[in-house]
Parts: sequence; C-alpha cells; structure tokens
Amino acid sequence: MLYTWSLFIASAVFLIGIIYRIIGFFRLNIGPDRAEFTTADRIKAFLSGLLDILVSPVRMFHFFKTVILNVVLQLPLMRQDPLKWFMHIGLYWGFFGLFFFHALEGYVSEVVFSDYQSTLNPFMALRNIAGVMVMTGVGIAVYRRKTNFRLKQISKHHDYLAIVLLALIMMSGFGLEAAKIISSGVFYDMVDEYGAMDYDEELPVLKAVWQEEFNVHFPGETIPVTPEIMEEGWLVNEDNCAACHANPRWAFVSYPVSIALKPVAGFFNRNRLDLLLLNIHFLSCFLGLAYLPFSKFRHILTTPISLIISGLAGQEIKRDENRATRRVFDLSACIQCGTCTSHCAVGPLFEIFNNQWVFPSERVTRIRESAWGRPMDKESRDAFSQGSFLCTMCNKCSQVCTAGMNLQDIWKETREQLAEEFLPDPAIRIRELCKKQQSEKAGQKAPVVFKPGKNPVFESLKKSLQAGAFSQCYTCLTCTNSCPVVDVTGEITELGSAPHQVIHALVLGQTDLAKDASIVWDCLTCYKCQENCPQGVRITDIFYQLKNMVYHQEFGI
Amino acid sequence: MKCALFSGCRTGFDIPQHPTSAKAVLSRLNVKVEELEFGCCGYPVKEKNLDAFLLLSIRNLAIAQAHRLPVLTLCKCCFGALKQAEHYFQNDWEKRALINSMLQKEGLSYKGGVKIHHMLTLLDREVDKGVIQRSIIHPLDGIKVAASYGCHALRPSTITGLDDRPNAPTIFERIIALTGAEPVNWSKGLECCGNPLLDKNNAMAGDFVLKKYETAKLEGADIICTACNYCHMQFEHGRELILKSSGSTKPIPAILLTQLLGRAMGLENNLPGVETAA
Repeated sequence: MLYTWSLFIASAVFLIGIIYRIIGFFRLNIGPDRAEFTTADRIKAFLSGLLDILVSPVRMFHFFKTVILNVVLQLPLMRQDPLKWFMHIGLYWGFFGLFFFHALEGYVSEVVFSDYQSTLNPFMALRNIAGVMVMTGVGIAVYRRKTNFRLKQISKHHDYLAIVLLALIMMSGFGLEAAKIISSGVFYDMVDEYGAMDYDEELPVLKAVWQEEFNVHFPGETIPVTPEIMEEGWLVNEDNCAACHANPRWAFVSYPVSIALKPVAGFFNRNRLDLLLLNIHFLSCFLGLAYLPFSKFRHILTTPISLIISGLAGQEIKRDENRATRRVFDLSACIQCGTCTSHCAVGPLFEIFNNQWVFPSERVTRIRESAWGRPMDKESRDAFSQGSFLCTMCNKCSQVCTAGMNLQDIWKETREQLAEEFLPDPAIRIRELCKKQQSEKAGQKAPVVFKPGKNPVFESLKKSLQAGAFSQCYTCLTCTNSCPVVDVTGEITELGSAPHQVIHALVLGQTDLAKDASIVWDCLTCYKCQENCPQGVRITDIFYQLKNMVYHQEFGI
Repeated sequence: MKCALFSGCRTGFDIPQHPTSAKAVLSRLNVKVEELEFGCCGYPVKEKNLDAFLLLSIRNLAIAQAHRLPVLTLCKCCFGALKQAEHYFQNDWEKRALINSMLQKEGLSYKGGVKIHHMLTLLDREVDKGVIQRSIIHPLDGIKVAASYGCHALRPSTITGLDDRPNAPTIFERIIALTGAEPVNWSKGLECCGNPLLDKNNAMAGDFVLKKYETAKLEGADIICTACNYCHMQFEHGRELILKSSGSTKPIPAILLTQLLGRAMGLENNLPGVETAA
C-alpha cells in the first residue's frame, strides 16, 4: 500500500516536473528581452535540426561516436582528471546497473536473463559490485568537495544533499540485504512459500545450516548442531533452496554487514526491522525520483543530450532559435561540478571581491534560477553584474565543461541583458557617474577651497608607490601636449579635460576635482604622458588609482 | 630553449589563430612551448582594483616559477601587465606580502624574478637571427608593412623595456624586415588603437582605430601588423566600422605578427589578406 502510493506520487511529481522543464526549455529566454522567437518557432527549429541528424549518415555516425566515447565512456573527463573520471564512472555505471537490473528487474533482468533470481549469482555479487562502485564515487565526491580549495568554496547544501540522498539509498540497500540475511522472519516466509519438506525432521537441520553457514539468526531458539545434522541440512538445502539461493557470502558487502548485525540480530528479527529498512530503501529511491527534475539529479537526463549537442555541433549552433533553446537547456545540464570555476581565469579574484558570482558555476546557477522564476533583489543584481563583468570571456569554461555547455554564449547574452537593464560593467557605471558629477559642478563657479586638516584620500595617494610622485609636478604641460585624447578633443575648454590639470588639482589636495575630471575617464592608458614626464610623475598610474578609488567608493571594494 | 606560452584570455574565443600561428612559428625556430594553467594577466581589472590586478598577474608568474620557465606573451597588454606586476612586486613590500599571503591559500608562492618575454623581444633577443632568416622560405618581398606597436608593451619603458628607444623604437620593424617585407615609417605606429575606451567612449575609440587605418594607407602600407590581442581585436572592430560606413572600399588588412611570420615560413598558405595586399 505504502509502496504503491509513494511510487505513484513520486512518479506523478517526476512526470509533472519533466513536462514543466521541457516546456520551459522552449519557452524561456536567456538574454535581452526581445521575444525574437515564439515557442512554436523554437520547437519547429529543434525538430528540423533533429531531422537533419537523422537523415544524414555522417551525422548519425558522429552521433553514435559521441554517445559511445563522450557519454558512455566519458573520455573527455578521463583526459581532464582521472580521479574525477573514476568517481563519475563509479557513480554512473553503478547507478545505471542498479537502476536497470535491480530497480527495474521485472522489466529488464527477468526479460534478458531467463534464469534470473536476485539471490543467485552472478546477480547477487554484481549488485554488490554496483553498490560499491556508487559508494566509492560518493566517497571520492565528498573527499574532493572537502579537500579541493576551490570546490570547498562553492559547495552548497544541495550539493551535499544529493550526495547524502544517494548514500542513503545505497546504505539502506546494503542494510536491507544484510537484514534479510539474518532475518528468521524472511526464512520462515520462504519456507512456507517454497519449502516442500517435513517440518519436524527436515526444518531443524535446514535451520542449522542456515544459522551456521548463512548467518540467519533465530531469536530464542537453540538449534542443535552436529556434523551429521549439518550433512543432512545441506541435502535439504540442496533440494529446497539452492535453486534460488547462492551462498550469501557472495553478497560481499551485505554479508559482513550481517555479521556485524549479529549482536542486535534478536532485536532486529523480533521487530522485523528488515521491513523498516525496506521502507527506507524504496522511499529514499522514490524521493530521489520525485526530486530529480528539481535538483542536480536532472543531469542524468539532460547532460547526455548536451554532450551529444556539443559533440555534433561544437560550440556554434547554426539556427538562432536553437541557440536560444540551447542556452536554457544547457543551464539545466550543469551539475555544479566546479570544473569551470577551478579553471576560471579570474576565479582567484574571489579573494579580493568576495563575490561568489566571480565563479562561472555560481553564475550559471543564478541565471538558471532567475530564468525559472526566482528574480534577484537589487543588491544581488549589483553584485551579479560585478561578477559577470569581471569575466574576461576567455572561453575556458566552455572548453573544460564536463557537460558540454556553451557558456560563452550564455555570458554574452547575459551581459547584453545587464547592459540593457542599466547594469553594465561597473567600470562604465562609475565613469558615467563621475562625468555627470563633473558637468553638474561645472555650472557652479565656486572658488577652490583648501580643506584644512588631513584628507585621508590624499594621504593614501601620497603614500602609494604608484601615485606618490605627483607633488614633483611643475606644470610643464608635457603630459597634456603628448596626450592623444587631448589631441582629439582639441582645445582645452573645460577644467579636467587635460592631464596636467588633474595632477595640479592633486597637488592642491583637491581629490574630488581630480576624480571627476573627464580626462581620467577618457584616458586610453597609453602611458605617453607618464613616459614623457620630466619629473617622473606616474600620471597614468595615478589615473588608474583615482578610478580604483571611485570603484571602491561605489562598490566597497 | 623552452617557454611557458601565455596566450591571453582573448585568444580563447576571439582570436584563436594567435596561439596556433605562434606555436607553428616557434616550432620552426626550435623554441619549445609549454601551456600551463595560466589565468588572466590582470590587465582587465587594473582599472577596478590594483590588488586584484596584482593577484591575477603575480599568480601567473608564480605558476611559471613553479615550472622554472620564462613566460612568453603574445599580447602587448598581457606583457605590460606582467611587467608592471613584477615591478610592483620588487618595489612595494606591502603588496608583495599581501599577494603572497593570498597565493598561499592555493599553495602558490612567488619569489620574484621570472623572465617575461613578448614574442617580439624573444625573437629579437633570444632567437638567433640566422635561424629566423633560414626559416623564411617565402620572403614577403615588396610588401609594405605598418607596425602597430601597442602601448602597454612600449610604455612605461623603464618598466616594460621593450625597446631601448621608446620614442623611436625599431624592434618591430627589425623583425618584420627579417621576413623580407618592407616596414614603412608610420606616423601613428606608436599611437593607441583605442581599444581601452571601447564600450566606454565608442566614438573616441572608433576615431583612434580609423585614424590608424587611414594614415597607414596614406603612408604607403599594404598591411598593418599587430602583436597584441586587444590591438588586433580593435583593428577587426575598425574594419567592421569601415565596411559598415563605406561598404565598398575595404580597409587594408591587419594581421598578426605570427601570421606574417608563418606566411613567410610557408606555414599558412591561405592567410586572408596577404595575397590581396601583395
């Protein structure tokens, strides 16, 4: 009853989740809100793209090649990191082995193998092998997330939740098998159902064998054991049980567990705790099933497809409609494995900016969450924009992505969207801010006021290696005369449009004047002024420093 | 000799031909290259935060030091950034301690002193002229080349040390001359390409690159040669601007130094632009 209902509910949640996702893949849009393509357009483009593959023998060849090399054997992962490959192969093959041949045994194993019995070899041993593979994978996954410097920074609760759920399924499975080995209840049930023996004479000797050799525990019973009894017992076992039961020692994990359970076996068997473990086992499996469309487990279904897409099309997809669909789809193929983040060219900046959205894997997560209806608050959007524009678009993340995502395209579109939503690169924002302030102040002809006391900005400038030399300036105008920007703008009409004015403002302690100067924000950083300054004033570096200061003022970093 | 090739972020997507051509050329010159797990050179964040710039930059130098290799950059901005970072590292002890404390978290440390080359300085100072000349099998006779120097490698000269005479450098021309091509005297060769202002002041950024195209052609160049990722992207951007505004008159091609060398060495036969220029 519990089994049927929980399976029904889990399957329903799973199906609804999957349908919801599939509709979203063709409906949602990543990037500027242009509504270029309708959902129907995108489905049409997808189907015609699919047809292109199906009708072309060359593409079909590449399709199968990708499936075998990249999806089944995961060779790209092997080339990247053998430990990671070993971990994932353990999880992947172990899980699929258990899923098809154990969870779906009625539909797969029994159909494929005419003599299938879950308690016969090789099936019993194979089941343990698969379980060990998954547990090894889980162990390596935890180890990597706990020891890798970068992975530790990005691992979240849901990453560990997925690992815990998987471990729960496996451990309850091993526990269940062990509990069944020691269970007298299961033994009697089986005898009732399949045994054809004399209960007074044959059953005690069979019990002796199963107790001594197969580790069944009969609480409150003392079973006489002698070599003769055992000999007889083996014969009864041969007649009644052996056709379906291999020696449980072949369950090389569960059997030692059953030995460990021996001290509490009486309690276990009196309370039929094997049934409790059975419930935990299938409920945790169904929980995983229901959770799949809404968690990183969905990659079981999505990542093979994204790997095939990248194997067939590479980074560039022909049709724009399919590019739009791929962006949304790729976000769901991400596993948060952190490979992109470990290889990110600007990832180390997390140390400075303390902004998780420096990391590509974290941006992917946020973009996906936003796309599926969880908008960001203002502060997060600011930080997200900062992280997005620290990216140098080096394409490394797409090249190393174990799921074959085209991240470059996602970054490009997201940045365009941010720019349209008035959240362009912070460097551009502060530039506009300073230019605005300057034009506002230009109207007021206030006399320059010498501020008494210490100006902290001024002091820090004076102390720094790069900016400390400004007081050497004697206003010879060499900087201004060599400046290509001044050359283009022509006559110097307003205050702050020539480099020497900025340096002079600093000499006078007018840091605000210097920061808002238009030449600071139109500086090409060509270093001509600095190169030619006879006094060794590091003008370009000072301009950099002023920009740094405004950035710090506006973004706190 | 052996170098750690520092291709620069922009070669990952925008100009992948830069490292591929560089590797082909270097293999002809018996220079071995190793591609390490380098990150960003720091130049793009310099305007945002100096510490961020230094962290990224020094991190690369620390990686190179761990492998005991000199760094070879293809991009002038990467070259300038690494040189500047080394300068800060040698002269600002506070920054030195700060950066090393951050690097320590990922098990790195830097002691200073890693040799930093740009493709130009490597070819000029480390590779035997005779080796280069012998590898030129298709001399580019008659092609007039305008060398776009790239600001961040050239200046501040006391830090970057690209050429002894920063106001009249000849290093780029010397290398071009080895290919048989004729370097032209270009009035805007030392000027900025305008890329740093792209997306900030597009009008001005476009102005600079258009002027470079215009003057190069006027002063007799058949092609413009770049040795910097950002300059090259800016010339590609300028090319688009010209094609968009005029439509018919194509600008003279802008190609990478490594492509020019590759062409002269017979490595790249279908190099776009060179045939039409010649």
